[in-house]
Amino acid sequence: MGKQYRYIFLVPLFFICGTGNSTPLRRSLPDTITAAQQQAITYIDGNDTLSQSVYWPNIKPYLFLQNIKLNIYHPLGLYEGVSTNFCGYAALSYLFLHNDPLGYAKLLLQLYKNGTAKFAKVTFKPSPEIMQAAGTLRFKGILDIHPADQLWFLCLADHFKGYLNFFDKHYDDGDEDTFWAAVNYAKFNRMVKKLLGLEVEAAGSDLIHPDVGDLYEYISERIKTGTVVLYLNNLYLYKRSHTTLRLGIPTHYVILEQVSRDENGIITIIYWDYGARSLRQVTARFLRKIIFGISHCTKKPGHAG
Amino acid sequence: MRGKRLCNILLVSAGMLLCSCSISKSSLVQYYSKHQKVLDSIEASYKNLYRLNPFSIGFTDRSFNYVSVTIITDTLQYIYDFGVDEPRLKDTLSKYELNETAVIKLIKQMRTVHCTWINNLVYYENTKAQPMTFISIRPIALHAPFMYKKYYILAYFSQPQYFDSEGRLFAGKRKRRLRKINDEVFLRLNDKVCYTISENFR
Repeated sequence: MGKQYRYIFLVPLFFICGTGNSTPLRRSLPDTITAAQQQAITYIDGNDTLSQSVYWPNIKPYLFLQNIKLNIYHPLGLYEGVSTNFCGYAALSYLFLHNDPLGYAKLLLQLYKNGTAKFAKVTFKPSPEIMQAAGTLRFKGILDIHPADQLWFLCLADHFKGYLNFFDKHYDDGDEDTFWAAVNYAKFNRMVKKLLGLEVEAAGSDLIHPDVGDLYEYISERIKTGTVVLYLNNLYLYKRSHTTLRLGIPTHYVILEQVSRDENGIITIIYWDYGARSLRQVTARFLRKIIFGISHCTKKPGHAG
Repeated sequence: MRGKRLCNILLVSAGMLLCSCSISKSSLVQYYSKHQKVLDSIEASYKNLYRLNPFSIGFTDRSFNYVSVTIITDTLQYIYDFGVDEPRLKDTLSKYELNETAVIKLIKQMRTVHCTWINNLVYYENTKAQPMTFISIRPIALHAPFMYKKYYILAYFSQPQYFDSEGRLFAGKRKRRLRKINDEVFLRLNDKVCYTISENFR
């Protein structure tokens, strides 16, 4: 049976994170960098004689190093690619780059050099198909020229599986846009806990909105003490067509950076996605309508990073 | 016998419905030649304005009364929704130092040809970034209720592109790979302008 026919019953759940029209912000060198960033850059600079990996034949070492350095300097510029289902992995990488840039650099270099890597409780053993595909993804915007991001997103999608990946666990060309790469809410939270060792307080689910009382109050309290990841309906956030009926399911992960409410009840949110920070003004009703999951990520007590 | 007739009627109706959903590519070509001057002028003025201050514009409703403006700065993308005639629109454009007269003129021009979205996209050719203007149109003729693909999409390139004998857009001289934009295959209108018909405007 053709692969595409197996998903007919899942079609209502099918989603694509990418709108494809986001323009990542122009990058310039940052004025200041943190000590953790500097540590990671020093570590990478110590590997500047990196030779071509036999495991990743389509990734040139200098482009690989350039890419991970850029991500450490500019974590906000990380871009998941046009029309891909990599938004969950990009949100995870945002947390990784902000919490442990050195760990990120070590893990990616280990993957590039050895073809496998162990980090925290996770052992990555990418499949041969992933190794061939990384560095060859095209027509995905700036992801085309970011081979380390391709490698990383493909490795994450290859390793972590959830129920949305049940029928497509094996990578084939173009699977970055399909269920193979999809991230359900429980999978996202699991990835954050296992890979980054963060504590995650999750409210919401793949189908039902979070029952948290006053949503604004809940979010604004959480944002004071940790990083808030929102799992939301992209079809409402970025309107792509004028149809009245749209699927009421979450499709996208964003990092909430700021939230405020004015005297008229209008809520201003600043969030990160698609390699940029965006500001939107929305009503409380609209916010309730689009949000399906709120993950409050904090460092565990005594965590060194 | 009755059941068979009913079945035939249903089949014919379904066939008619499907026919009503398909769009002929010739209608798009006709549309382009009819509105080419306005479309080219929209593209040219957008490109000029974008160079000064990056932004994108999209109409969020079917009647072209509400507009979403994304203003891109070095640190933040501001996404605002306005009524086309709201004074807030002008105030916001001037606050972010966009040429308000030119942008308002552009919005009005877009409305006249039912252009729903205009944006600058970047594609990569041998690791070099190239800009491209992406224009979506929702023509009146495509408002049938069960229409699956509703938008004409035009891609304006700044350099001549490569096409095969069927007019499909290819990446590079060797024509090994189709150049897809937003996962869609594009076809030739002329050396620098391509089109597709899509279910989404962005």
